[in-house]
Amino acid sequence: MSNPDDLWPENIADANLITPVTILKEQAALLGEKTKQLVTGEVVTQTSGSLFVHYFYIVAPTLNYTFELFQVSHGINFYPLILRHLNTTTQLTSESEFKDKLKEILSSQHTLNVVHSILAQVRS
Amino acid sequence: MPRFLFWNLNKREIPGFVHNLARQEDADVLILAECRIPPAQLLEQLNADSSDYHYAPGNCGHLVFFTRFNARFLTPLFESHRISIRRLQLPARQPILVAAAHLPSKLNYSDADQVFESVHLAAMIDEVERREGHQRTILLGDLNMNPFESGMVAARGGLHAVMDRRVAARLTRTVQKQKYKFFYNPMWSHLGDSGNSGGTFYFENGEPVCYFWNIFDQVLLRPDLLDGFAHEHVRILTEVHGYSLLEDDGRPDKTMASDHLPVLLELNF
Repeated sequence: MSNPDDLWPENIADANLITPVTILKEQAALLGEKTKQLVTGEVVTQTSGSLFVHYFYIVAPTLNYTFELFQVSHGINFYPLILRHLNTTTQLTSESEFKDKLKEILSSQHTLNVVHSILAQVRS
Repeated sequence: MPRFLFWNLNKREIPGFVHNLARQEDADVLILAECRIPPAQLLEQLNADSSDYHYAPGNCGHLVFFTRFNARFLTPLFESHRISIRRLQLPARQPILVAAAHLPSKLNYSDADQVFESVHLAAMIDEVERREGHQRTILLGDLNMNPFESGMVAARGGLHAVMDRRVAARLTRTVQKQKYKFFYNPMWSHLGDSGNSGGTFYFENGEPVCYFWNIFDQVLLRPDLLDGFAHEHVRILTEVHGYSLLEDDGRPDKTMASDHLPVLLELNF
């Protein structure tokens, strides 16, 4: 029996959306797996007013070294989302656009250089 | 059930042994003393097959930590040159304290000196327990004392570690009208011929008193954790992937591996 005083819809708790931070954390974990955990990814989230801001770091745990690769901010609806990378700000309107942009950044020469340099530093 | 492995490597560069031992024993938390192997090199070796070990950074000069858990779950709360006390907070489990120590050697310290080191270690553990608001604590390490030595068993500042879990389960003992918390020390049961080795460290000299075998590498538990601990959950390890860590005469093979034997703890909490 439904409670007449309960004004919430039945599906209020059915959340199966993929959040941007989930996508970021998956990529962060994958970097560690690929480098034997010598270089890992780390996502730190802060809230600022109604905005969520996610910082994506490249980390060398054995050196206690952290490098900010890019940051992402979005409101309660996830998209449009703002991505800041190398002094460039891009607005992304959907999950697929976000993933495409992430792929572009993670496979860029700049990211490769950063990861390779940190790896070399870790091993030296 | 989480598994904790402690090994004093005696400054030997034996990353292959460490890798094989950690994998053989499915160690979730690996704590090494006298480790001269650079952490990155050891991490690469540990993850040679799959990348599930993480370096858990800290500032303890004598101890290094690796874990298969997220390294953020193993947070340093107190660290000094020879002591590291960390909070292990696993999802859906109560937090515990993992205290590790490598106390000074008998080569450089008198019995009295070692008692003072024990008092310092016990005080640091007590302080962190007060701050954290619980006493779910394990202590692992090369304490450079046997379970029966004063620094291990004494109350009034010592570790107050007893051989009988029923005694430890009384939680405290009153001495001179003050209460002192117990540790349970399961290592007492491993002295002598009960296992493959007589202890974790062998030392023989010409002095009148010589124990030959010593258990310097120990695991201690607070009574609050005893429900998740059984006698067989602590083991002195003598074999790695079919290679014995002992020489033919039964002593630790320090030319191949370390002069200390590793100790494993399994604990449900």
